[in-house]
Amino acid sequence: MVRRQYDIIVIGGGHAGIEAASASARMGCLTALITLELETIGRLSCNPAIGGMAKGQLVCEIDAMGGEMAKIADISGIQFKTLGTKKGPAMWSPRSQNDKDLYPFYAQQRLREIQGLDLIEASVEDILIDKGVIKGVRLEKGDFLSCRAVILCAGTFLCGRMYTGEDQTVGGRIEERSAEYLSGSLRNVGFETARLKTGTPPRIHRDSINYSSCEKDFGDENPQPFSRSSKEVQNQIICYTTWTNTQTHQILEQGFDRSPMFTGRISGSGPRYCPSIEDKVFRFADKSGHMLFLEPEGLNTDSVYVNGFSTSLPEDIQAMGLKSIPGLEECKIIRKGYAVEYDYFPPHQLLPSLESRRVGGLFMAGQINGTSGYEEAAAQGLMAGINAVMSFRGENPIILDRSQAYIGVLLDDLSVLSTTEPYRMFTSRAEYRLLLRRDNADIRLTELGGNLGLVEPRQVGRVREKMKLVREGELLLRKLNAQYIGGDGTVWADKAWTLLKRSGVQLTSLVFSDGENLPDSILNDHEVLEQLEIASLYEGYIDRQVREVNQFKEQEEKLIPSEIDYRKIQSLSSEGREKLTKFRPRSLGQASRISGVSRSDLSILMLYIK
Amino acid sequence: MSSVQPIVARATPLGEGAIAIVRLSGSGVFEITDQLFFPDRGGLFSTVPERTMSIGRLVDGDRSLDHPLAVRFQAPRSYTGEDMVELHLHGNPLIVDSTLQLFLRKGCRLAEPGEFSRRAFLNGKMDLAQAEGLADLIRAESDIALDLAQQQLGGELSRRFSHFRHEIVDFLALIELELDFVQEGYELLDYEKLSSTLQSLLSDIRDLLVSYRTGDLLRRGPRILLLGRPNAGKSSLFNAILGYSRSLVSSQPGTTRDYVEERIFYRGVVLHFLDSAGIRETDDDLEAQGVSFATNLIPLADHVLYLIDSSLPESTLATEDNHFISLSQKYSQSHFLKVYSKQDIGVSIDTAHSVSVFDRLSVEHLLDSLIAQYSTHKTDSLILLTQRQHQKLLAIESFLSSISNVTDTPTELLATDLRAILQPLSELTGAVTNEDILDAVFSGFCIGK
Repeated sequence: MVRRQYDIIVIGGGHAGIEAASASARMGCLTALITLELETIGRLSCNPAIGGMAKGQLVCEIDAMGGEMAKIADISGIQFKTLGTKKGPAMWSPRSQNDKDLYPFYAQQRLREIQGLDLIEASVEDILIDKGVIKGVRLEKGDFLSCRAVILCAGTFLCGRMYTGEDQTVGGRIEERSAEYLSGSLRNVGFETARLKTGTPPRIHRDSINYSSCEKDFGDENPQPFSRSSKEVQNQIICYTTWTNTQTHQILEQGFDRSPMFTGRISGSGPRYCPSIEDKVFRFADKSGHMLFLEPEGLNTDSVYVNGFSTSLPEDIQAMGLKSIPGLEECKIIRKGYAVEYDYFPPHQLLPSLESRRVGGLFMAGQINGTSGYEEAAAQGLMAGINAVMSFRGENPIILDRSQAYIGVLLDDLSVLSTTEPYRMFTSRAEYRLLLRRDNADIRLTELGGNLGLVEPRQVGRVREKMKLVREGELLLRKLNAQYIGGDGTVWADKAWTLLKRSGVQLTSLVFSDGENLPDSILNDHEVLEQLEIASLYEGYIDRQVREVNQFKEQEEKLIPSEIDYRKIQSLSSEGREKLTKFRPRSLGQASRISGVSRSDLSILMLYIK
Repeated sequence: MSSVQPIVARATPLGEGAIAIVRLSGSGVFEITDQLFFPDRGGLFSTVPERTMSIGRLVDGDRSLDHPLAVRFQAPRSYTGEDMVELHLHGNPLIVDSTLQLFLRKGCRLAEPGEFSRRAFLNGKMDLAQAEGLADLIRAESDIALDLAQQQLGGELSRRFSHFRHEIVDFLALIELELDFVQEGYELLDYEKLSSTLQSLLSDIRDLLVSYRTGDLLRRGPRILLLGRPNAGKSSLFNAILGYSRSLVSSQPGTTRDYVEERIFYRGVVLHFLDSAGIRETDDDLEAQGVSFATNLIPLADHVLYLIDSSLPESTLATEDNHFISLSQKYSQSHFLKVYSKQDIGVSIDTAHSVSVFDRLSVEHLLDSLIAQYSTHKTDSLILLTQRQHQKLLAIESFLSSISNVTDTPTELLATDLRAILQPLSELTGAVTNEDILDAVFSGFCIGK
């Protein structure tokens, strides 16, 4: 159904658009999601997987706030694995292989069930802005839809150009169109745009692979879902790994003179952490092989994703290169790899709420902000959706800070530091990563999700109960004496809390003295046990991080008035003045994260912002 | 008023004056002072009337530091507009330093340049014109500080730490690579090399801290404590050194009941001598006080001359030897030196540190050996650290010593530890951002699928 008037319009049906539309409608705003093709909503454009290091934590945070991604990933998942289990719990990151047909199917199904959300198939040609305020959008055929806020989630579709060898086609995803006019229309009202590029590997036919030459890569024995509300998940496929070799590299080098990257036809910067195979061969010439992951794209598809072989080399070179790899000698390419270059809006033009600094009511989320990855996009979509509603209601935006969530790190990095390459989340970007764990995402964020009306009260109650049990459990463990019998028969006796600090000691393996024990309410709740074990293991470090967080917050609370004119503050260093003028930090804390702003600049700034 | 971190700094210029003022400002400064300063007339410092001076004892644990005057300023009636305390100490740099250290340990932070004034401005105690002057001052001060850092040993200090900074960033890159790209199975961290780098950083920092103490010592002059059994000849030696009779000298053990401090200028170096009461079990209350005072003085002294009466029987000499060893082990921070006195009447003991007060040359030998380490040749290589740099070094030292065994520390905690070290280190060398670490990761390794 198409109405003439909406509260909020979301442009784009990717992972950012899904979350934005869902949050906005479920918070009670009449919402439209407009996309070029309805059936592409929720498509996994690149790899058929969700989560991974740091990204998995993002997905759990989205879930804790009441977003969609975790639930869709769980029902469409076909292999589940927690990465980082050899490291401590702060590093445990869930990841799933997903069925590329089921993921969009369930995404669309969930969206259609939301009250107050219309899904519209159309191309938006213009966003109408009057005196710096959003009025509505104009569709391709001239229809005008009015609204109070727009959330732009156009992904790689703004002036998208795809490259394979010397071929160039217009579009943001293979066999799909590009939005040609939108970025121009925003440039006209003063937005800065730049180009980024990313790439995707070829897909090959599953029956053309000789699996006996590859190594098997299984899911976890005990697969864990992303969402606290998902019951259980199952592994249904096996992935495989294989390696490139020097012969492969020689073949690829023959195509360098026809590569759009090396011939300079692509000018946008690509991600350093997800380099194309030609980039790997060129930059790391001394490496004799690169690992590849063969990931089935679904249960009912022949397509296998060759993870690690992202390329824009000519198709003949792609095919020859693949055939030199063990297991792929006879492989048939279903779809060639390609690079895509697209417009993005350098995100320092946004506030941390993802609202544009320039136009009230215009929000931007996802890849157009220069990020890469479904999870980064979804996290932004969720926050843009929430904050568009807050702005619609005339309320203060919800800003998560760096100590609360990876989502906070993401939005802070984008709005304060901007980005010149596709931004991906890493655990190392989070100063307080020991606090930002997968296991406590609900403790950190569910209360907030409940207050916003995105999480059911029952779930909020459950998290409160769990936190209460964790507090009680900790008091008891600090009091009770216990024994632990090591593998070699050594008996350790101490306070239970102290014993838990020994690596490898689990709560259930402790024997309490004097017939004492924890109450069943704690013993039977594995989430509570997990919290207690982690709290004890990380104690000291967590205290230190909490102290750092407090200092950090002191700085974050020192707000810089938005009308401040840095040119008038003579004592600032010239670099500091230039950077402050460009990035316009909102607080002293943000200013301190901008490179080029020195300690004395901060001291001086402090004088002017009382 | 919202909570503001308490800061402390010396308010009077560096150097020795009759009095030195230490100022505190911020939340909780009264409560902190209550733990350390005890008014003579009783009661808590926080309850004495504001803006009046009270005299009392400044105490560090069971050690009395000084007997200063203190004033309380209740917010907003203070320079900064926050709760403030002023302590008027005796102008001995040692007392001032110990006092600052004491408050730092109690949770205060050393004030940034101009911070008292900045707080005054923020709390409306200063107008904008005054504040702009202040901004220029901060700029100038930090420029000077930067110049200083670059000039120190021709930039040696910042070079040295830049080197460590690079090494730690490189190690962190390896760790972050291992953590963030766990699926790709990189485990390239060379734990042995990391361990030895951290060791050498620690030893460099300890050298610098020693150098700081030496440089600091040189400015104020080393304190030398004369210690020994009653009648070991401490006061005689003291007087011989001073060249005139300052202490009461008698052959009755236990005459020096308090301690006496004198300063001499010897071959270009200032030396402070402390003559203490003798160490002896005693029933005399007054003397007992003096004795416990003498051992209390040891931590304050840079050198302790332990005098042994060489005219005593051999068995007693052996006991004295043992006593010397146990004392010097107990107070390992100070340099202990064994000095045999009364060489004119005792058994001749052939060491550099055998003296007779009647043999001027033997006393000069002793003094020469004391100042040998402060000779001009060595001062050239001294790095004169600022108190701020000193603080950062102490912070790094404390983080470094808390990393017990790198191989047993889980990787993500090791990363947390290294970042903790980078923080103060980067304040000596320039900031390290997350992006710097990621740059090191991406430039060195082929990662990503």
